Amino acid sequence: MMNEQNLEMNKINVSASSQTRKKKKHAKIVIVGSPNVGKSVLFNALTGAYVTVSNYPGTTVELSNGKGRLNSISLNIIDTPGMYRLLPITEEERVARNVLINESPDVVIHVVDAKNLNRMLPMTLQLKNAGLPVFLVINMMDEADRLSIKIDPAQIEHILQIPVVTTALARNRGIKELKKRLSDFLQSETRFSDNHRSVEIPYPPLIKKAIQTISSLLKSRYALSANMLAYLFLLGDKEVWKMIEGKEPDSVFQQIKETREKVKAAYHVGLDLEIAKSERALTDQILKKAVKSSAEKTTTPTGFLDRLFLSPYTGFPIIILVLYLFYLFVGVLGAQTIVDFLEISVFGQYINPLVNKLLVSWVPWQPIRDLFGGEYGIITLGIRYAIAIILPIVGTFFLAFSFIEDSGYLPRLALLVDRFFKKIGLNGRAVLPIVLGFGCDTMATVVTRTLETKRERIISTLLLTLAIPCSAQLGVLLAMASTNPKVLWVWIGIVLMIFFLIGFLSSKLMPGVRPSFYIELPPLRFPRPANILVKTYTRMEWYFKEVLPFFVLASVLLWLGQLTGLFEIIVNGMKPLMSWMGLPGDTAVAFIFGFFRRDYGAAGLYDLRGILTGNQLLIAITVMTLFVPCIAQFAVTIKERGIKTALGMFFFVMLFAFGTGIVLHKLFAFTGIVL
Amino acid sequence: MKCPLCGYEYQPEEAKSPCESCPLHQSCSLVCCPNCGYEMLPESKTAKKLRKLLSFKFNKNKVEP
Repeated sequence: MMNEQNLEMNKINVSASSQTRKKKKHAKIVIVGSPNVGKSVLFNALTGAYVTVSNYPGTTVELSNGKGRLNSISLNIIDTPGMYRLLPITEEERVARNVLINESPDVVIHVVDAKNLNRMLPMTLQLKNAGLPVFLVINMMDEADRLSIKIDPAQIEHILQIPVVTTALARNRGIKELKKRLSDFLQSETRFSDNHRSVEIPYPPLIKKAIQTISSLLKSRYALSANMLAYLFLLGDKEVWKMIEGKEPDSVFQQIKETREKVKAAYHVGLDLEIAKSERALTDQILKKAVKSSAEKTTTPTGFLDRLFLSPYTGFPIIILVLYLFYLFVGVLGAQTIVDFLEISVFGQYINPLVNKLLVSWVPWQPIRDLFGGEYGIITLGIRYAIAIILPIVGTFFLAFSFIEDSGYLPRLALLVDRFFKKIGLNGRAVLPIVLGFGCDTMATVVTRTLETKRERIISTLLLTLAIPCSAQLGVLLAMASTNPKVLWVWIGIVLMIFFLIGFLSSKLMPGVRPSFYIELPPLRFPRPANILVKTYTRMEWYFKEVLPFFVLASVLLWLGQLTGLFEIIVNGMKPLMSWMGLPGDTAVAFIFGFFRRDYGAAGLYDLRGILTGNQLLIAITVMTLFVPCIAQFAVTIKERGIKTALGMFFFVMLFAFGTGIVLHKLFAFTGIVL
Repeated sequence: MKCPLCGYEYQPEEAKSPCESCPLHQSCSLVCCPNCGYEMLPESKTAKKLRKLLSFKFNKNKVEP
């Protein structure tokens, strides 16, 4: 609830003090906001030609500094890196926050995305409660208009008591009004907040009391308000912790620490989550009054289903059920019925014999015949893999995946997995890159940079490299495993066990660091058939555009390798390793394919399914799951983690993958288990 | 576009910056959510035509109350 009395008192203070101030000649402006909201466009609109870009001291984070003029006021404007809230996680956020603390800005312009006000307004509340002179710019109004989102800036201005302007900066809309309001705001010295101006966030009583107690104990001078320091201290901000420890007497610091411990003990699930919920509740109240969106009407309460999906007791059985349905749809329908028809009947009986026959009749040179036909030909291998094996498998997989995506199940799955992660000792935030890895490990490796410490980033990258198959690889491996249900479940069990093992080891490496992870839960809904079909079509179109040329190229490389004898040398070199794992020598070919693209390797294994026993199938798909990353992921790992770490991971994963294959083979031989 | 993982709404142009660090970004048609990194594909011309066709078909089958 808003404290209306405080707001009224604030209004009086604003008008009273504004009359007593002098006109301002110089002003320092700091622009903040989430990434990609238009901060730099605003920076360019406010600055002239003189702009410097330099690293923030002691970091590699760049800051843009520019000069500008607004009527008679000369401006010094700083464009900060993207930040989501005042409690920093990444180095960029830390730099942005430190700029706010150290630069004593005359105005803090918070740029937000009109389409995502619900996510960005909590930071406006935090900035305001930090005692900073906030000026809110609601940008991207053109896009909000297109989505029929109607925003009433006057209402937000009235509630928050800060200037609010709406813009579409990329289209030069609203800049004139913004400059006028900014000039007025700079002339009004009352922009500096005091306690009367802070917004009352509906925290639970215990948290509210703790903030009051801590802030009343702070007697030194700080760049941020006492309330905000108390807030950041409660959330465990290390820099604020050090700042308070250095400025307050030991006895006072002890009292502050004790107050925090008491509240932390009461909210053992997540103090930061509780605080975020309160901020979100106030944001929702504000938006209820100030925003009208046609999208809101489609929201339906899904409390009961949410509880089912998110409870560990029902959530994990639901995951198994979802996996089973995937098995039926992708593994049985896609990988068995449709693949058998296309591969055995269409390619096996008609296309391949016809191609080989035509080549024999029309092409007198054996090497050219081998390029298009025979064992590794462009048509008989490359096109066959793409059309007869990959097409039905990824088609059914993408169809099922689009259904899950549109139903709203994915974020719920992420939350459920987060609980599991915490149990095995992993950082909650690591769940995001891991979940993204099921789409593409390459991009997920890029996302690991959002994690807080170097250790977390390395461990997540290792997990992605080792135990997370990308969507295409997962589809083909799932299809392969589905040919023998026992293999399917043992394979899932082994991969989970390895994940558990790495998680356990990582918890030993980084004990005690478990920040909460929270993600917005969109309403659950039954997906629209047209949406699913279009998404599936889009994915398949993309996949084939990307995969078909590669399959053709790989066939040409194999042909060249065969022609020069190089391919045979590599395969023969790998044969002893295959035999240690109890696999036929031909399996080496699939692993060579796998280094180029994981799904191509999986397709190579799929081609051998007829000659592999249950045990061999399990060993082959387990090693392929754990096997080295594809070239793209390896390149990203080098870029993100450095060549030494990337090479270290590469060799570790190779050893671990083939080592697991050898151990499994020995275990089967020792116990006599037959799958 | 709306991210199916975190619900963030964005334009395909906004999604360019998280991709810049990927070595494949110049030849890659995927776009990533600027908020969480989840990958999506912008619809191609053919996909848009298919959407129009399907919307027409599904809307036609809808029974008005």
